[in-house]
Amino acid sequence: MSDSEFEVVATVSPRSIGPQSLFEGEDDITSENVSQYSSDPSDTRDAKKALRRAGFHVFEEASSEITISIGGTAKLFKEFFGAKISRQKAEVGPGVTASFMSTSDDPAESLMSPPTEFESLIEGAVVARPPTYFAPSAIPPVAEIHASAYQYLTVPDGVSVVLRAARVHRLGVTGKGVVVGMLDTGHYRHPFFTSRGYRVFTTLLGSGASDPATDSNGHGTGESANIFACAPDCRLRPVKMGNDTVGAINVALGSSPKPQVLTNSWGYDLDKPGTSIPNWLRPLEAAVANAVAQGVTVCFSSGNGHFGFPGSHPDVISVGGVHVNLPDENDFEASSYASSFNSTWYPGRSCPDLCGLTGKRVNIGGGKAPSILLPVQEDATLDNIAPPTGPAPDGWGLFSGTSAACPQIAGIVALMLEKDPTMTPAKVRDKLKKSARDISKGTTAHGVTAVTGPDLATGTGLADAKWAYLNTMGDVASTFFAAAKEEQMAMVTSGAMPEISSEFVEDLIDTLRSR
Amino acid sequence: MDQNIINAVVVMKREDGLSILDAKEGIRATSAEEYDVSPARADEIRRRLETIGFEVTSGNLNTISISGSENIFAESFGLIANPPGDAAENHSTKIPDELSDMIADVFVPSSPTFFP
Repeated sequence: MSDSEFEVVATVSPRSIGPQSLFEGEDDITSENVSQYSSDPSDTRDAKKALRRAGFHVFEEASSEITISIGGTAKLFKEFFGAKISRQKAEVGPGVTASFMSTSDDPAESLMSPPTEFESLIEGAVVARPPTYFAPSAIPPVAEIHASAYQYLTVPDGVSVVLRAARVHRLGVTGKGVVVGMLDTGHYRHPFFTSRGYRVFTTLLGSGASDPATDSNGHGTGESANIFACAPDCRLRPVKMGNDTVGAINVALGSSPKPQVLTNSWGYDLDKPGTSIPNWLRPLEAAVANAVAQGVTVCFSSGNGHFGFPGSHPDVISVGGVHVNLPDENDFEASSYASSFNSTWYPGRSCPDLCGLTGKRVNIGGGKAPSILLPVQEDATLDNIAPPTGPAPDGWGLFSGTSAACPQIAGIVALMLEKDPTMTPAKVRDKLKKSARDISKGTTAHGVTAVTGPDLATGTGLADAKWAYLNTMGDVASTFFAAAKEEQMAMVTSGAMPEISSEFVEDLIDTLRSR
Repeated sequence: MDQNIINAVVVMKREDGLSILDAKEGIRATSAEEYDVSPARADEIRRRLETIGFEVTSGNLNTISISGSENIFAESFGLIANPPGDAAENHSTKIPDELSDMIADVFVPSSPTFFP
């Protein structure tokens, strides 16, 4: 009998060793008297034997010295216990109804009596009913998904699974100790962050910004969830920007502890054919170069059909967009919503280097496919972005652009830097690019079609956190084997060099095969 | 009467007059240092800007971010903020004598575009 045939599951009580039946005793059952309701092992064994002979399945692991769990068809229960079993419904959560086969909940009918020949062995049985869950989700709050909604990802799980960061997390690598700076519209302490215990430093203000505890736009708050989806134990340093993006970078670099990664989901739509960099952007160009010269890995979105600068700066990781066609988590295409262009200002520079997850342009609400559901300050601008997540502002917004992709990459960088904080920004970018999954279909907002191998549409493809981690560990292993014994011992003791278990090797092979 | 506060970026000159605005090629991590002023010079420029009445909000060895009233920007740098939404390049039309050998230009930056 397969599991699907257990249309009824019940709990049976063999004869108790005490004077009272489990079902008909007058006393409350407490830790002090519960042993009176256990059964003699020989009675339990005989009861199981009888029930099996009758055709029931005995769930051994769910049974105890007090009760036996059994499963079977409604017909079998009716024949053995004479039970009246019918289809019933019960609300198991707000707005959620479960359908199941059971006796009625009338006390007189809910207790099933055994056949006469087993009365001395079995006290009775009751059918299991589904419990009521007291919240729609174990980890609130999550906005309700509209029945007709285009399927989208959630954070942290959806993003971390598709980018394979979840696989890295299971190895104990979660971005611990790495500080990620985010220059954006601010950060609001949404319950999404506090309920998960994510570490967020006080928001610093760039010149022209105010109110560090609020984010009335929602962009910074929402996009930051992508960082934690990939690196749940990193520490986030939000910098709320005004127009002075140069000042904001300097504020981030001057903060303590200093960020090792900067993520920037913004830019200027100016690196267009026939132009050259204007003088007023030279300070920003120099600020970006300074950050990288200081060893900080700087990530920028390449834009949503924009010619984004500093996304085109040669020293940054330029992040584009790949769309996943859910529910198939392995069906990817270059996003029709994301940028791909050759820089005019920096000859030989093509954008993006690689991609994170974004939506694509389709004809549904808002003119684009929502990609990821992200937390925002209630009634913030992006709480009301189309398509809506509900009939009223609910503190959640559906985002589609490379603004989400960029912090995803920053999170993956944090995983890499946890294992090897000595990597230069150039080396980090090189490893990320080499570890990306190739994307060979789809056309970007700039009309570039992805083909097999590296291309202008997606760079080297979609980021693969697991492969990037394994790639990083390759270097760590090289350092380990080149080191003196004392240094090797120190690396092992500190956890910098993990044990290379057979599980690690099997995992490596499994990841390779699944790419 | 209350005045709008303007935020701007000051581009500093090295002692030989060189600044990032003289770059003939893109400024990269490997070349950014070429345009750095000395820390002492950067401190002196900050001090002079503060003496005029600006608030220095942040900076590096190429640029300093400052804020101040519309009046002080107009008087010191001949600079008037663009109307909201106007992203045209907006920079100084004059530099005070006491800063002319230290400052190459002053820019009021435009809002960036976010990519949600």
